[in-house]
Amino acid sequence: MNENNTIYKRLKNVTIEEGKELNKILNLSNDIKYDPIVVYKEYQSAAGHSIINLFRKEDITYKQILIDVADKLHKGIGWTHFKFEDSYTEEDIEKKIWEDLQQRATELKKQWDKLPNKKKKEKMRNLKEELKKEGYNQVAITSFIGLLVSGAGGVTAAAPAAISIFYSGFFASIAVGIFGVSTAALITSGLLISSIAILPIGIIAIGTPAYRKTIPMTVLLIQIGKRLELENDLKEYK
Amino acid sequence: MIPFNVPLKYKVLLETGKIVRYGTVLKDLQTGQIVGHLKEVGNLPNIMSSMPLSLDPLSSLSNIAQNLQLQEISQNLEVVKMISSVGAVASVATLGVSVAGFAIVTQKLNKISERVNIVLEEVASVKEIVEELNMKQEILEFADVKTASEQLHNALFTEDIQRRKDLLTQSNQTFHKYKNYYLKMAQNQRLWLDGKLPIEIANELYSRFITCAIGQLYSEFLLGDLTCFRETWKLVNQEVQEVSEFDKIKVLRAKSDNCLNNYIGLNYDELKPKILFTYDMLIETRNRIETMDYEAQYLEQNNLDPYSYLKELRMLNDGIIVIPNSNYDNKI
Repeated sequence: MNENNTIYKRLKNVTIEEGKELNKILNLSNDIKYDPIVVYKEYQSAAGHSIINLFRKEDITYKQILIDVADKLHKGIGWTHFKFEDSYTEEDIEKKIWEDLQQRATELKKQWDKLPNKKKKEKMRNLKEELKKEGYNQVAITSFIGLLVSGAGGVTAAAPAAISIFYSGFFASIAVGIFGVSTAALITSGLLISSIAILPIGIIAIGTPAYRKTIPMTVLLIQIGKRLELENDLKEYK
Repeated sequence: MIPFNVPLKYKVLLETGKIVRYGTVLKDLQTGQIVGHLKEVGNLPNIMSSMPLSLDPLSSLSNIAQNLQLQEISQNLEVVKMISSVGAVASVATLGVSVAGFAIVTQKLNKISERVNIVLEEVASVKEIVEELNMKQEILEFADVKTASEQLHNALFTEDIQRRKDLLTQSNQTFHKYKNYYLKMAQNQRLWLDGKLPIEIANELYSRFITCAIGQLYSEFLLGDLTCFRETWKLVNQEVQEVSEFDKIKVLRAKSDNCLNNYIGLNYDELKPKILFTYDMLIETRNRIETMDYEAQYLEQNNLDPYSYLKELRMLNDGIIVIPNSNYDNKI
C-alpha cells in the first residue's frame, strides 16, 4: 500500500466522528476501533467490485475510484469525460461529483414540489416510520427528509452521513414502496430520470452493494479533504 | 489581520520586521516583549464603533474643555495617527442582536421548521412562543446594560463628586452582575469548544460578556481606587483568558464532528472567515483587557487621576496612540 496516496493520507487524519462514520458506512462493527488500514482495504475491496480490473495487482488509485463514482452519478447516457490518463486532477473530479449530487437533488425537488400536499404528507409519514424502524434517530430523520425535499440547497448543506442514507441498502428496499414505482423496471432501466423518484431511483439503480459503500465513503472522503485543506490554511494564519 | 496605519517611528520597525502588531499590542519579534499598547483616542472609538451601545467612555465624551493639567500625559504618550478597522472593535459589543440562550433554541427550531415545515406545522407556534419569551428577556437585559452604560457616560459629565461616585457605583454593580451572568452562560455553553453552538452565537455571547467586563473595569477605573481596580482586573483578566480559549484547529474539528454526528452539513468555505475573524477578535480583546492594567500601572507610576486621564485622552485628535512599554529592554 502506498502511504502517500490521497485516500490513505486522508484516512490517517480523520476525526473521531469521521472514523466512526467510515466504520458505519463500511458496515464494520461498532465494537471495532477505527483503523485506517482496515478502512483503506475495505474501501479498496468495495471499489474493486465495481471497477473491472480482475487482474490488477496494485491498489486502485483515488482518481480511478472518483472517475467510477462520477460516472455512476452522471446524469444521462454514457460516462463522464474523465479518463484515468487525462490531466484532470482529483479535485476536478471531486467537484464534478458534488455538482452531480446537487443536480440530482434539484431534479428530485422539482418532482417533489409537483406533488399535492396530501401526497407529500403521506409519503413523508411513511418514510419517517420506515427510518424509525431502521433505527435512525430523530436528528438523522429530520436531516434526511430535509435533504430529500430541499434540492441542491439540501445537498450543499447535507452531511455525508445524510447523503449516505440515500445509498443504503435499506433505502433501496423501502423507496419503491413509499414512492410507488416498480423497482424492477427502474433498476433495469436505470435512466427513468423524469419519474417521481428521480433521485432515489437513480440511486437504487446504482445501488449495488459495492456502490452503497463506495459512494458515501467517497463523499465523506471529499469532505475530509476539504476539512484538511482548511486546517492547513488555518495553521498558516498567524 | 486588522490593518492599522502605524506611526512613522513604529512603521519603519514594523516594515523591517523588528516589531510586529499582534492585536492591539506591538511586540518585539525576537524577544516577544511588548513594545507598546495601542489605544484609540479622540473621537475615533466612536467612529469605529458601529455598535448600538457605546461602552467606552472615550467614545461618549465630546466637546469637553481641554484639561490643561494633564498636558504632560500627552507629551509622555506617543501620539500617532492610525486608522483601525471597525470589525474587531464593533464585534466586542453587539448587544441587541440576538440573545444567546434563546437564540440557540430559536435557531434549532428555525432549522427544523425550514426543513420539515410540511410535516411539523406545530413547530411554528412553538417558535412564536419561544421568540416572544426571547424578546422579553432580551429587552430586559438590554435595558439593564444600557442603563449602566448611561450611568457610566453621565459620570464623566458631572462635576459633583458624590454624584459621580454614585453613578459609577451603580453602573459598576450592573456591569458586574451581567458580566457574571454572561460568564456563567458562556461557561455552560462552552462557546466554540465543542462545536455545538453556531460561531455567530458563540461570538455574540462572548461579546456580551466582554462588554460587561469592560464596563465593570471602566467604572472601577473611574472610581479612582487603582488598587481595587487592579484586584478586579486580575479576576476579570483570568475570566477572560479562560473564556477566550480558542484553538483554530480544535474548533474546526469540533464543529466538523458535531455536524457529522447530527447530520448537519458544513460549508468549509463559509466557516473559514468565521474562524479567522473570531481568532483575531479574541486576540484584540485580550490585548485590550491587558492594556487596561498597563494604563493603571502608568497612572500609578505617574501619580495621575484616572478620571482626568480619560478626559485628557478624549481631548486628543482622533487617532490611535501608542503607550510605550517602559519595561521594554530595547528602547526605540
